[in-house]
Amino acid sequence: MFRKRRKPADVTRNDVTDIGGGGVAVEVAPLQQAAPNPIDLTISSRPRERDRSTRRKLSAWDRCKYTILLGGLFVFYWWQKIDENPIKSVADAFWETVENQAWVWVLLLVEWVRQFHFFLAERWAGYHRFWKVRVFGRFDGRSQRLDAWTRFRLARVLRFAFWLVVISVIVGQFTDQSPIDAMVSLPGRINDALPMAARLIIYPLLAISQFVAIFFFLSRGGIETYFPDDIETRFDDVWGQDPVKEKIRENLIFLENPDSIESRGGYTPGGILLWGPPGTGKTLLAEAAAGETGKPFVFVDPGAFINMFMGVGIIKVKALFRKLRKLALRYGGVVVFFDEADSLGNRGALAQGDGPFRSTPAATFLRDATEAGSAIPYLSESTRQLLWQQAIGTDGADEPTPRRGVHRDGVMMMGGGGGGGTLQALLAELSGLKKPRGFFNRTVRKALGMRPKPPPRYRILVMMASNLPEALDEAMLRPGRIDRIYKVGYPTKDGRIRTYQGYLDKVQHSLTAHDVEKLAVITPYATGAMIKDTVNEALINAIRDGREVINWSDIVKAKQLKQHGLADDFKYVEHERHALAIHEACHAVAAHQLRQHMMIDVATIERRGTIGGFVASIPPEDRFTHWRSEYETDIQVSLASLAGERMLFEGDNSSGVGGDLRAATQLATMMSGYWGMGDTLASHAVQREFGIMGGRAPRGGEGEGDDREHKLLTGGLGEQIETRLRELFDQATTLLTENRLQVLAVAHALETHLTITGDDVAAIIEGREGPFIDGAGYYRPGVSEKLEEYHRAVLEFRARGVDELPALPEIDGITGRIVDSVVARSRAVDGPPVRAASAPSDPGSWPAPEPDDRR
Amino acid sequence: MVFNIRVRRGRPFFRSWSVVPALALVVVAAGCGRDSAYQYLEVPDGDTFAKVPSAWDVSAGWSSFVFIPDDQLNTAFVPGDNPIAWRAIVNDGSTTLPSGVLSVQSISVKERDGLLIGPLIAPGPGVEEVSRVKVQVGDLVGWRTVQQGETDGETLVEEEMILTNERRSTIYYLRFLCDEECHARHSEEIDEVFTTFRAEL
Repeated sequence: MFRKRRKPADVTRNDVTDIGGGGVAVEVAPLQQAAPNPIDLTISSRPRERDRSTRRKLSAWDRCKYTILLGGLFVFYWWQKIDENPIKSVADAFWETVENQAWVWVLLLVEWVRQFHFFLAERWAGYHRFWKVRVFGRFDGRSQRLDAWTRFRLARVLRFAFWLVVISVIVGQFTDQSPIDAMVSLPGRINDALPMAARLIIYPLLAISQFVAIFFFLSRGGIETYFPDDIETRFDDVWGQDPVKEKIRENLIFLENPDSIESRGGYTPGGILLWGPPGTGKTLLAEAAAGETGKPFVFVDPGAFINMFMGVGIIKVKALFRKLRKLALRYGGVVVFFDEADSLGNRGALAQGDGPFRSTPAATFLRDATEAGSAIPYLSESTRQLLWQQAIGTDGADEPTPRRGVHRDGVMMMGGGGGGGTLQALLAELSGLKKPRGFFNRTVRKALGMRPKPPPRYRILVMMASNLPEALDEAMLRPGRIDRIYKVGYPTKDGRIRTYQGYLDKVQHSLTAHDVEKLAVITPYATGAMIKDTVNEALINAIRDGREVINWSDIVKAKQLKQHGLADDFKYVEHERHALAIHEACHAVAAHQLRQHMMIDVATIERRGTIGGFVASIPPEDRFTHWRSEYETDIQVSLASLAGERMLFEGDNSSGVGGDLRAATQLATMMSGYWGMGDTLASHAVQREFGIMGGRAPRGGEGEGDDREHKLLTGGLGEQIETRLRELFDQATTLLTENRLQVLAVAHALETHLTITGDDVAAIIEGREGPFIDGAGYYRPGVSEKLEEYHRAVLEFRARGVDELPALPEIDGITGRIVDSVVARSRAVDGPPVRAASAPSDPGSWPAPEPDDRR
Repeated sequence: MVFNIRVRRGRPFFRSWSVVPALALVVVAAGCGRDSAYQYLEVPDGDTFAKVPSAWDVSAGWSSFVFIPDDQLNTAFVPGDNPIAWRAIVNDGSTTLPSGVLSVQSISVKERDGLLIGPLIAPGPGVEEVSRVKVQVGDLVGWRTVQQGETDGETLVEEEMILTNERRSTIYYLRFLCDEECHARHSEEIDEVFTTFRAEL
């Protein structure tokens, strides 16, 4: 029977307590009705060792444990004396033990002196202060003057000497020798004992060594150490990432001279994460940091912690940091670089239990985005980003909590290879307990009642690089582990110019400063690796053309090849070619006339897989805000294909506009429903959240799925979208009607050259001379009639199936394949070749192309 | 039920742990000057033990002294024998000559048909008086013999004890030689030496 214990103050004279089932009653003695003793609930921190005026009191056990141990040892020897001689009296054995085992008494005496010292230090502040400050403090102070590495080596020597003395004393006792004689004879004894010792050791070791060997070999590799001067790369070799370079340089300065910040109460920043798209120079930055610093550089491969067996990763992590600590002591600091750090994994992702893209809308979006003929790639980068966010549900209320310093789309990655405790081991090593290290420090000092010495300050700069910072564990990115997070993004225009110049300096070329600047403008998302690859491809083009000097056409061709891929060797029938050219020309003309935030990079009707043609646009400048007017022009450019086809094909249109309409509708939906660019103010994100006004039902409820889209398009929002699309369609129709000749001219140029640059598109529309095409030719007398006549012939062919289409009309300054005209023009404008040396390597790849319109 | 118990905080100094080492030190210091009444002799391999008064001068150690001559065994030493006896020479301080011998020797029976103790305990030449008592020390059996005779005008008393194990593989020999006056003076001590002798098989 359990009873709630009563407070003494509650017990009165008349209280009778049943203490069992037998009905026994006990009358409780009266108590004074005084207030209970107040309980001190003040919670105070246990004082630190340095804050105590006296020594912390030892427990009774700690006070006497060695006395008991030595006393037990004495009894053991006493017992042994009695046992070894049957005629020896107990008293004689006792005194003989006292006489023979004098060392026990010596140790006991030392222990008692030590305990007496502690006894005084626990009660007498002056005495404690004297030893703590004047004796041990001075000793520590003097030892601190030695550098950490020397202290480490000296401590090792002293530890070796200590154990040698201990072993000598023990051996001397067993061999009836003095400790010195025992020490002298120790090598001989070890030699004599080797066969037996080897036998005793080898057999168990054989069994253990199988596992040890397996783990040893499995834990090899993946970690390479470079010492100063091993690496030639310097920060000067990294172009286009100046802000990040400066911040890393800052870290290195503090690593080289930690006193500059530690003497002011700070600490050396110990962790850097470099994240960004592939090929932007993260690894090169780390390599340059290794070259710049005078400290060892440890490179950790991405697969270093991916292991066959559980536990090997932990061993590797511990071995790595043991090595780092040693290097940090030896050289005063060390830099460790984890390349592709996302391979370390993420504990949270393991719980997801799903693939990289668990969201069905996201998967749908990605499928659409990569599908051949899709209109999504036509959109600008920013618009695609927004659509992507919408697809994966990170808009508005669904937006996840942003991570520190990392703002990327909500892609949850897999756990990676760092499972089985590897990640946790890494986290602990990066910023775990500042635990004392070493057996002597932790165990022997503690056994003697001494406080273990804290570890020295290891100056380890951890650098990580990742394309997928979302895949990194949150705990890894916290300050103290990763103090600084830097985005190594696409280089700015100036950075691209510098990078182009760097790589072009390695080859002979005829590009002017203006050309290089223009090149930087038309490759807005080019990384160092892409730029290097483009220049190399241009050089190949020049060599194949029998030239040593790279010209503008080589660069343009290389860029187009790298950006859009190789065109199929496919020849359209004439009427289909014309229709395709009209389709793309409508996009091009609308884009040129309407868009201020984008410029046409290239227009083509060369087939690539299932993509018949496209108009690719690029942003002329880096921008972060987007306006309703810009999105409206995007929609008009999308709808221009439908408007143009209906205008020029007598109300008819092809199925190729389907993708354009889808993109336009999506964009219009986002504008009206989410971005406050419609006739109403309510956000559809909220409607979705609460399932109102055509929005979907709350999560997990009914109405989610297809019903959502149905309600969306048939409700008020759907009407808004349709109205907006209609208005913009009409505007596009008006625009194209006013620019009918321009559409036919661009279509003719496309039919003639198949691919034309954005500058040439602009030149044709504006009736001026472009880089490769003289657009003024289309505005000479009689030309428009030729174009209209050819178009009518196509219409007639499509309507009535005449025998043969007339040949494409020849226009002065236009006719001929672009390659020929480009080459001819390039030869005419080639200046003296420019050549210089020295450029760094920079691996990477091209970004995703950003075509305006694909069909 | 509540008891108003006074909680003792702390202890008087004399009850603290520190008194334990102090007492131990006193005991050890007091005992350091104490001498034992006996000194203990043992064969280094640890199978025979004897104790003699501390006043006696003992020179203990290995010796090539052979107390069982070959002719008494009617054969030479064979493999397995230990012809080298352990011997402690005991002197009571009254003479420079050895007054007694404690000795142990082992003989293997593997190469022999048997081992007779008779010849070993037979009185030597010049022996005038012999008394012989059969003794058992632990698992060992044998004879304790006292022989008295005159040698070079001096009456000597020789006490000896010869023990053997059941398999008769080992002979343990304890001998003490003294003149008559010495024997009379130390008879009790000599007797204690013989009676406390132990051999562990």
